[in-house]
Amino acid sequence: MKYDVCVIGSGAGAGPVIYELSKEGYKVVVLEKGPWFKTEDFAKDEMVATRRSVYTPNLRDERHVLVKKEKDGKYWSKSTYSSGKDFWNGSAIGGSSNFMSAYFHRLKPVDFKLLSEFGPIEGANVTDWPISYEELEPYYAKTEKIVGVSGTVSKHSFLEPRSTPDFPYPPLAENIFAKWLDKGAERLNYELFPTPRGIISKQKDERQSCFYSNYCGSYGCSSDAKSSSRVALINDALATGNCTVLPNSKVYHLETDGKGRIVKANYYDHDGTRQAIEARIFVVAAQAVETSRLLLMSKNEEFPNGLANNAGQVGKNIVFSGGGVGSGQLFFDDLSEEDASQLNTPGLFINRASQQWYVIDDPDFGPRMKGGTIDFVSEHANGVTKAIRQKYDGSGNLVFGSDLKSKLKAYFTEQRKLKYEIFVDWLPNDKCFVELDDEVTDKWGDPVAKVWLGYHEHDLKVGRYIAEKAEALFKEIGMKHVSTGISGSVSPNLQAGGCRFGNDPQTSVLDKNCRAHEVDNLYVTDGSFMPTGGSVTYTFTIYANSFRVAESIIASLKSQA
Amino acid sequence: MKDQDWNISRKNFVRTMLLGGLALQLPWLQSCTDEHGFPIPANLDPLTKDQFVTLQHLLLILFPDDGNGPSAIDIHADQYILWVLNDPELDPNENNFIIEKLDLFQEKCAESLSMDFKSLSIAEQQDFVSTISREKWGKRWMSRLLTLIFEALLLDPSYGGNSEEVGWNWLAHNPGYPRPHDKIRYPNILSLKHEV
Ligand SMILES: Cc1cc2nc3c(=O)[nH]c(=O)nc-3n(C[C@H](O)[C@H](O)[C@H](O)COP(=O)(O)OP(=O)(O)OC[C@H]3O[C@@H](n4cnc5c(N)ncnc54)[C@H](O)[C@@H]3O)c2cc1C
Ligand code: SF4
Repeated sequence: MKYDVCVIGSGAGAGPVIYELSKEGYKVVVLEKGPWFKTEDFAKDEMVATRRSVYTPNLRDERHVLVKKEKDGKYWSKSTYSSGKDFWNGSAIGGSSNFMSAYFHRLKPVDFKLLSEFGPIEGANVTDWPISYEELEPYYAKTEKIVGVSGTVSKHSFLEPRSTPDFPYPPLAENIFAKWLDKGAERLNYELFPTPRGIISKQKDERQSCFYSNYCGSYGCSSDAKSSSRVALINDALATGNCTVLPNSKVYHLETDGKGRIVKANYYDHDGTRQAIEARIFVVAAQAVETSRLLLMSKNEEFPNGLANNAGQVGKNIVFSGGGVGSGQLFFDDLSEEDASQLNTPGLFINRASQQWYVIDDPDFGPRMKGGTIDFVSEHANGVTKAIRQKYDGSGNLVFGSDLKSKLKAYFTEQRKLKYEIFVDWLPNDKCFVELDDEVTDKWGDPVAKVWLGYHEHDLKVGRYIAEKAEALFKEIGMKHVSTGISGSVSPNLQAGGCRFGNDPQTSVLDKNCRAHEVDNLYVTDGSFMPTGGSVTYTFTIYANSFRVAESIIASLKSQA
Repeated sequence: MKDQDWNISRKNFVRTMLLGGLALQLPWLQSCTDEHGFPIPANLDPLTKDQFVTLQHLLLILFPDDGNGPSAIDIHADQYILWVLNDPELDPNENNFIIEKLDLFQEKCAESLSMDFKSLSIAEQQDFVSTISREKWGKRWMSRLLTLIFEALLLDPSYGGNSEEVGWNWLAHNPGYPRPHDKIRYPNILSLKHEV
């Protein structure tokens, strides 16, 4: 059978295309490398969620090679199997969106034109987007409604223009700490606002409201409140009868007909047997690194350097999320019994953010420049992870015996740690890209992605500036042991770039509708299209853009008919 | 969740049975006790009895019975580690590392103190562990053992540690709900297959 559309991957970038095309009556097939976990398969089991490779591939079978910049400026490369530093995020129907924490900020108008607003930065490949915020805005609104985003609009200096007055789902319930932050912010003249979340706060069809399970990020959701691509989009697509989902199907090659069109997606099924799917249109959304890898692997005479890569742009300008994390502690002995008990209530969200320094206009710091976002969050409730952090003393020596037990007891029962996460642009640069490794292969014998993780020093400078603001607020409200780690290390879960969209086929892989310049029936709808990442997490934008591209695919299919 | 929703392939079924069987061997019901009163499981593979008993003594130095919460033996960290060492899904190098360094630990003890680690007094054991924890290999090795102790302390009791939720109760830890049941527990969850 020849399908209308074959989608590779089933996460946030794939979901809107699967949903819109199936609803429109097109025959859609989804090839997903990971298994199909259903809602009833999820529990709050730290073993499954974070201690073993269950939601992600076993590194013995599939790994990455990472190339990192050391402090001395030199680069070294190591496979994640030897380093143990896992670079996978979520491999399952619904992809990593099943396991996200779902902090959902929109980009700002300024993010679409960094080059024209702030000029070039040496060593960074900054460029404007080929579309404006106004063109993407309706799809943010659509994502809020269909996928489900909760929050409340609150005025602040960088509030982005909206076509709807407020979020369709009211804000989630908050921990008392949010109020304390608000009070401190008032005294410091800071602008805080409630963080929008890709979590629904009231029932939507079959999906129940969030029940504040206390284990959100890294865990699957048992009420379907989390707006994963699986529950918010793929389930509805399946209900149309037009959508076929094939789990445990790893695509290894996209075959072209010699005339610039893909005819087949070649994949290994759950038994490792080679299979192929024919379709009119192919959509790749395997998350940025794996999308570039698949295109680079899909070489043939027509595309000797990889599919859609005759201009040599595939895999280039990968971006992550710059910034870092800070924390502070509140000790119950310093609080009233009532406050301590409220602070210690599990499950409720902090949900406060600041974008007051989204653009930094501070002559003491330098010329006007792009800044970032602060998200205030709780420490994750994972018990083993919390305990592991108690293993060492301040000098890095191992603590054991009764000292360790006292330390554990105090950490778990006498205080609560709260955190802030700083998000700044990861400047695209020549040392951050994906290529195929020459030696390391996965269990099917395919070359793995070798990911260069070079960062730009400018990211650290901006990160530190914003971290100081967050630190000041934590200190203002009496938090102890406030400290921040800003570095060039990578959060593997926040990936974009590698197949930039743009108007010039020499400097971009995709056109403004995310169709490959060189391949008529190839679209890419994960975060790969982003030429710059903005200073927020990516998933809201990935969803919105995928809805936008879905319209363009439908228009193209209609015109062919 | 209905049974007919599940389709476990023959290959995975056999694997589940093997691993499930292994999990079932964990219960201390089948164990006897040694001269220190520690339970010794009937099947110690891949450790020898001597290695296992040394490990038990070491675990009690790392996580002692000191009146402040459960000890490593109370949470069955010794038997949990045995289960980990038998897990074919884990990196064999990491597991071999645990065993090789256990031998090295014993060798170093015999070399420097001319005694078996388990025959030392508690104070001597503490001193020796402290010395080894400052060596590069020793720090990495004990750090791995501590991680496994924490897993035995704080993971779901169905993994063999945290008996009667003693770890959660001690640390007032809220584990979250729903709790895992048999089919979705590790490693069984790796073999789950829904009909397409
Ligand atoms: C713990 C965690 C917390 C997070 N928190 C947030 C947050 O708070 N806010 C936010 O915005 N984002 C968050 N994210 C990130 C978010 O999940 C991702 O941005 C989003 O899911 C990316 O969508 P995607 O479609 O690019 O990739 P994914 O959702 O990862 O989907 C890609 C899918 O493609 C499949 N695939 C890969 N290669 C192949 C192949 N060759 N053949 C077939 N299938 C293939 C993969 O198995 C995977 O299922 C978080 C992620 C994690 C893991
Ligand atoms: S119930 Fe709420 S907190 Fe728990 S996983 Fe679902 S969305 Fe997250």
